[in-house]
Amino acid sequence: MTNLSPELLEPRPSAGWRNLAPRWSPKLAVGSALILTITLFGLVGPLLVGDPDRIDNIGLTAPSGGHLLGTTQTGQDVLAQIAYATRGSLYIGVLVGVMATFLSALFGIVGAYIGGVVDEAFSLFSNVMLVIPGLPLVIVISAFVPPEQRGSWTIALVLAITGWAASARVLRAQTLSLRGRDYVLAARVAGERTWRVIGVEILPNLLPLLASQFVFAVIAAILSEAGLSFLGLGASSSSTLGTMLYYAQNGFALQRGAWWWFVPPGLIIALFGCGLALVNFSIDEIINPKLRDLRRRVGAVTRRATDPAPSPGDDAVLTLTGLSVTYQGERPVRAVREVSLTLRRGEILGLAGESGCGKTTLAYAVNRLYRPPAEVTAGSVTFRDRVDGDLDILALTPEELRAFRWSKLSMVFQGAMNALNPVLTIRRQLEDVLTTHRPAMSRKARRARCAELLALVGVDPRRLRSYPHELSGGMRQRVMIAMALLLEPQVVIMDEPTTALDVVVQRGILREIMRLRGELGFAVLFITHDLPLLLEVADRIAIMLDGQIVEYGSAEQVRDQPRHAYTRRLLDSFPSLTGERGAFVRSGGAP
Amino acid sequence: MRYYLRKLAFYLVALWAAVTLNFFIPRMMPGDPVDILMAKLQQRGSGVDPSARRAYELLLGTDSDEPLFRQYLSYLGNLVRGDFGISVSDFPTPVSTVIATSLPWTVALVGIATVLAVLFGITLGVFVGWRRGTWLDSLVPATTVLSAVPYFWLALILVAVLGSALGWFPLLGGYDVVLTPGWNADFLGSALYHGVLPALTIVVSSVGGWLLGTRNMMVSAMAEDYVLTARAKGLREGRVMIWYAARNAVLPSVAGFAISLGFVVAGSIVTEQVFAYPGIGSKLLQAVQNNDYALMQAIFLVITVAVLAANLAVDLLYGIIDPRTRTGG
Amino acid sequence: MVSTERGAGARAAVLLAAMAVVAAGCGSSGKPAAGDSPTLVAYTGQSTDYQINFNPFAPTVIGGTGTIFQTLFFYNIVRDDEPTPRLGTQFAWNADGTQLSITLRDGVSWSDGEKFTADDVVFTLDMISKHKGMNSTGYAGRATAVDDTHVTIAFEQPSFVDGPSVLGKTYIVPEHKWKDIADPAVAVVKEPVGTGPYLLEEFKPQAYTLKANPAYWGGEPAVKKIRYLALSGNQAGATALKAGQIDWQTGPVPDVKDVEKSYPGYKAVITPVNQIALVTCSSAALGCQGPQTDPAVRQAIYHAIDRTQLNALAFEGTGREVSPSFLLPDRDGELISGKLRQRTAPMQPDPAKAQQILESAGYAKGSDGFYAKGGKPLSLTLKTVSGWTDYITAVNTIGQQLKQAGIKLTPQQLSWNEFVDAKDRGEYQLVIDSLYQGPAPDPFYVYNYFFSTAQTAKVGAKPGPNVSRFSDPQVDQALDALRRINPADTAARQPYLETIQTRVEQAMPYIPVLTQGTINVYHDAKFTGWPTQSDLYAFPAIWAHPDNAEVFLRLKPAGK
Repeated sequence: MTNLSPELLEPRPSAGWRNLAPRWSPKLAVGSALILTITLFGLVGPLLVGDPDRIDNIGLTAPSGGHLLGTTQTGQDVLAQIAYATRGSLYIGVLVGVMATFLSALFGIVGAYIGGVVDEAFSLFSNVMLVIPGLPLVIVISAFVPPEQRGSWTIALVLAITGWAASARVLRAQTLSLRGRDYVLAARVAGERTWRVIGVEILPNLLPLLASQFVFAVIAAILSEAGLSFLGLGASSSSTLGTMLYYAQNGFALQRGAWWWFVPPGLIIALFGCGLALVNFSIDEIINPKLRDLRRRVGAVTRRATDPAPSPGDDAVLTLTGLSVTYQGERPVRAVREVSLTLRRGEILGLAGESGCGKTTLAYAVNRLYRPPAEVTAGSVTFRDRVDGDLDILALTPEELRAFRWSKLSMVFQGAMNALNPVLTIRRQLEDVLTTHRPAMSRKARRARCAELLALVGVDPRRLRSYPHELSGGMRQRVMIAMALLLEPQVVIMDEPTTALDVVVQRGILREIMRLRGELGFAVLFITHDLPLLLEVADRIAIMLDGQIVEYGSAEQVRDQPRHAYTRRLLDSFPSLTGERGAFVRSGGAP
Repeated sequence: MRYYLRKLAFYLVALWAAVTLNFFIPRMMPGDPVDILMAKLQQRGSGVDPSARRAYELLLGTDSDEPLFRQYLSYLGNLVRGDFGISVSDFPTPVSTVIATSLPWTVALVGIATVLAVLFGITLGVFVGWRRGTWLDSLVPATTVLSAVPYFWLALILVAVLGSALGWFPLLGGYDVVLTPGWNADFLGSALYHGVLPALTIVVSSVGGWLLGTRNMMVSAMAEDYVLTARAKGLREGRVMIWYAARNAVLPSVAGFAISLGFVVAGSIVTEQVFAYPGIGSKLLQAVQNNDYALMQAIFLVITVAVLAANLAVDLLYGIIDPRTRTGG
Repeated sequence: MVSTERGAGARAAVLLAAMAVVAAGCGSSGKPAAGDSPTLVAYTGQSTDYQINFNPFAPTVIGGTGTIFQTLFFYNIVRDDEPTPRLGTQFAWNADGTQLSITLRDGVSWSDGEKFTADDVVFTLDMISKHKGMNSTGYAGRATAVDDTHVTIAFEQPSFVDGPSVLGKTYIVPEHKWKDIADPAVAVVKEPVGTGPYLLEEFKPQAYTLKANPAYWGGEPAVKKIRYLALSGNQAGATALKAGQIDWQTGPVPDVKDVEKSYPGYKAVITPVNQIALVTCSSAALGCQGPQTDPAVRQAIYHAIDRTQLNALAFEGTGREVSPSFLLPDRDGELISGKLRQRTAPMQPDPAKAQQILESAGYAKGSDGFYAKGGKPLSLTLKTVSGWTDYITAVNTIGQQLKQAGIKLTPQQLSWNEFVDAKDRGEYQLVIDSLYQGPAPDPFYVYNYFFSTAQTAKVGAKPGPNVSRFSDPQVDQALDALRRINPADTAARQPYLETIQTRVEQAMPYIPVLTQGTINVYHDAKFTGWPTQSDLYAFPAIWAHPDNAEVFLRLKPAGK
């Protein structure tokens, strides 16, 4: 259910290399352009400009034809100096980047892969290095090294030693997760050598992350070196953007209004850093696909192609007519195609289908929970309220929609582990439903109501004070159900409510649902891939395949006379059912 | 409780590592800092007090054949007593006094600026993340430019523009020297006024990192099921954004505080230098420029301890805002 | 970061000594003014926090010299004036320079109300001769109080040249306060009691404030408050000056050429007093190493420097011509010997001359464009201090100029301490520094400080000011002779001065660069009465003492 969009599927290991190519985007374009230009300038620039050291009788001239960026206090050409200084800064940056990345890979990847004491030690070491402030350490070390021995390599080494820890931590976390993957385990079981497993199976998947950390190290190094040089602690007789700024400051460039001497070096650092950061965005998007740009049209709510159909019959509470949902993109995916369903008051309508068939998308379309790039392209959703009559859900204003949600139609999501907010207590998560929808309710009444509901689903009301992680999976799902019933909705959509639970717990919860429905009389749209289960609990069943309803009828009909080949296949793929089991669930009450 | 004990243990290890590093650096480096310091003390007209030499030797190393371990123990003893010898650049003030007078300035400046940057960055990040796909996304690359700007460069430009050209803020110092430092409105007002530009430098340079981090976490959090639940519950946008998405999104930002703080501390050293701010960063550079090794070492230690303390505080805070740390692991 | 001038000034303060007589125009003009008299804000270049100490004899003294504690007389080193009476009113030498008689001012009180007498003077002088650490000028007299207002000092040797340091640089302290101080050379004085025109009002590490002494014997000065700031260095100073937050600053400031335009309300006076030189570790005999021990190399550098360009780029044209004799052309013009090869160093480079000197000394130009001799390239390092903004620019400029002449020069920036240490130990090839003047307007002192064997030492040992390790018997003999001649007898002194000048030019242990214009910027719109080019009644530099007290006494708030 997290994978709302096919694009967001986690890259498969086999596709690792293909996924390393960043997606082209304006950010990437601007970023690469900045980096390339500045790098090229640093590499080629010195060949094109004159001697950066040549002095002139007149200093501090403003930019002109002869000196495109003016001259320094001693009449040296600023452009020529910048060209050489850029080269110097890049040199240090790359030097540090390589060394720091190597160190972080060593301590992060190798440690995490080997595990055990080595990992513990490496990790502790990284964490300690991380919390010891870097620049003060660099300053202290630089101060002890006499100027004659303070070359570029020394400075780079010191910067690398003080700058690798953060990325080691990131790499370690990622390696730990990769280490548990099937293909890595397989390679290890197959007896491949450690370095081979790391090099072939793990490293390619870490490459985007390594690249990102390298980029980060380069920016940090260039900035730190500039700071050190500005303080006069940089590499001796080196020429970097930092030393240029040092001399500009030394020559009172700002006080004399010689912006052309002071501003460009800082700007180059800033632009280069910005370029690297923009490229880093693109790398981040490989690592974390959620971050990718959304081409969202602001304000585009939904498109409605058809007028809402009148509800067929008085007992219908929710009617879907010709509903289509499409994931917009370069290749639009039609996840739900012209679905028409009717949920009657108080009944259980089962919706079955295999993963990815569009059933969850359909469920979200009912109360417009889908998010871009998903869009309703056709159809209507009509809710017949006991009081207000027919509501055209797709036409509700945002505020009407908000008020409609949960009070008339609530949901129980699959995987209650994630559906509850981990940092709020159960009470707050229950109560905020009431504070939002029943503002008039007193604090005391709210508490009582929450406790009542918990008791109703068989959870000790003292659990109100607990956090989700303190509850078992079954208890969490019960809490979710209690939450769904807080406002006595007319419809509850249950999306795989029991999938992640073990069989015994599953049974208990299903019984609870059946019992509550009996007591409270809400209708249920029950979504699952488990057809046999539906056969037991549902009044009517719809089978979904590739976004379309291929079978729609009463549970008995579907069980006994399936019309679609797919339904038959589904039925055949499960072990045959016993009547006892169905009776067991349906009878409810005592176990 | 276990969480807190583990954190405490970790910071003790880190502290020990820093202290030990501090012990070995001068001993590994070329040159003989003790002799340089003693020569300077004599230059300053101080009688060569054997106790002064001893304090320096413990801090910086000695060529005597005293076993390293014994030196180490005595060094730890001196640290506990706060005895770092005498500062030669602020002669004849003891190093501990120099630090005691300058530390509050830095703690206040960096503390306030960091809190502002964090609040500002996180708030903006939450908002930008929440409104993903709108024009607000363009804020993200814009702030990265700011965070890639060298601190000192930004500080100097700010001084030139807001201080010199427009005259809105004082250029230098920590307070108007006419006033007497103390808990009076005039002084505190002046100190605040003088702190604006340095703080602005730190905030502007560091806010981008917080913004970006929070924004990315926000985007991740918004894809979480509990946010979907919250929306399905018909909660108001603001409530979903703050209590469901943001409340979870800030956790990694808080956990990543250590890295950010390192950068801020680094930046503030250079910033203090530009603004002639009477803090510990200026003192560190003064020590470096004057080969005041004792002061330098002590300041490094103090900065490290301060950073460790700040991290510990944040970790403890994390324990409060993330209930999961309280039980289990 | 300390400005060059401050570095030189601070050292000068320690070593200076003084001499000579009289002058009018005392600071008796100050009458009690209205309550809201403006505070004068001064910046001396102090780059670290102030650590309180007003002991005028301690190396760590932060101020009060001249303002709180006074000397007997004031010597103006920039103009050949008679010494101005301060605590003393008259002095006289006996014929052979072995006895100095001083008449003291009557009716002077210490700021705690005690009366100032001859005993205080004798106490101060005795204290100096008793404590070796305080006797930086080599004072060797014995002082006796004749009565309350008369003191005589007896010397074993003719000591004309020691007069100015006793009379003009020795700050008299009250016996009743100081007699119990165990180690006055380093003691910290927090509550100074003096006779001067100012009292300490308030001390803070970032600034201290002096207030006018209402009971000053010359009348309460018109400037009621003086605040000394500690900033982080030249950069901060320039910024604060630009913002009008400093009324008096001495040191390199940007755009000093157009001071009235760049700093509205301010004026500048530029006083060429100290000679910038490339100091060489010159004597191989005393252990110096490197190509600069060859006089030919020193001469070649002398000719290769483009002083006009250097002056424009590094010093904004504030430098003046320098004489290879190290006399000041403005002050000592008539003393400069006619036997010199060049009266002043050429402002334009003479590459042909440099080339000829090097080639006749056996150097040959290699394919890389640099000279070499015996396989050793002519490559030198030139040390300077980080933060000395103008010298850093100068060093880089000279490096480029010498490159044209085939001499490789590598600039190196050190901390002030490392710099001093390198000079003291002789472990350098070239440093850029300036030569400073003595306590009186007399070239004897420059020669005595920087060229005498007595002031130098082998490489490794700590010398006096003569860090170049220059040692020459002719110069030493001439200096000895000058000590015995009354400075008033100029004709008798001239031959000896000429001998020294010739030797100094030939050997050139200090390669003259320029005479540095000490740049003094002052807030003319706020206070009037500053020393100007036309009336240099004192050396206009905030760090020069007791000159700064002379200036304070003459200043008045503008419009009052």
